[in-house]
Amino acid sequence: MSESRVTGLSWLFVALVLGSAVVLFLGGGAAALSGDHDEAHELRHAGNIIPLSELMGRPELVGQRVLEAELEREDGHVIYELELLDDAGRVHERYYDAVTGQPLRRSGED
Amino acid sequence: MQLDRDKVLVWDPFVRMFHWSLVLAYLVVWLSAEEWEWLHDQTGYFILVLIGLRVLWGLIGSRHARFGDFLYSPGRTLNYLKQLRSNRPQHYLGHNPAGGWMVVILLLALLATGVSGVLIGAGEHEFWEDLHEGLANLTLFLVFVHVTGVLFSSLLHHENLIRAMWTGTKVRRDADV
Repeated sequence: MSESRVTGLSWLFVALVLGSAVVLFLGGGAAALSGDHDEAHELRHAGNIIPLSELMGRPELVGQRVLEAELEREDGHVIYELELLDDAGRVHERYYDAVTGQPLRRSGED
Repeated sequence: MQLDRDKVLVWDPFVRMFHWSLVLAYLVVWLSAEEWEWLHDQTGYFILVLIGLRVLWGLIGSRHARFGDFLYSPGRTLNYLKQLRSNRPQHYLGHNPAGGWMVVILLLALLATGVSGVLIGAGEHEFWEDLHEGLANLTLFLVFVHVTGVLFSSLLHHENLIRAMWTGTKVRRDADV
């Protein structure tokens, strides 16, 4: 390929970078504005998922400190992902079905 | 003395755009991790697009952008690394053999990190998340090696490689490969 054609192609690739950035960061912008928090809010009010406070009433969770609580969609289910600190200072992750409140899996201690 | 006529365009516009977009995106993807999920995910996808374009450009792009230009055999790469110890290494106009392999290893590590990140949402949540974090740490280590190599090579050859990646030009030397 001639040098000028390669240079032209190079600018085309630059345009592709910019184009993909626009699609990814601006195209999805509207969805971002109604982000996770609002979605969690909506789900909760529709009565689809139990509130975190209710989940924390489970016997094995009483007395544990929540370091991080996330609401995730996985395989069509909404799950609570909890990062907990127990009395002995150990960190655990636990997963619960956000609709039924049933435990899903338990990871080892980090 | 360096004459202007010895300045040649080594890094084409896309290579430079790719490099600095990746630097910026890498910064964003680290800072947004576990904080701003949407931004983290979108930036991750952006990095995967960048890698895809760079691989394609490595096959059809300008001379020094092509993998064929900067991927040297293991023997020649080892030989280059030995030259470094003698302090009189061969000067390369494009990537030197060590830098060339660094490019490929960084691309592969970033690709693996991105793919493992995408798979977090596809089930086996915990497995992919752990792998994603491990790979992300690996890429950070590789970035440090890369930056160290660039600074080392810049000092060794008395040329500013960071500026070269910004302007695209380097000064050609008589014995250049």
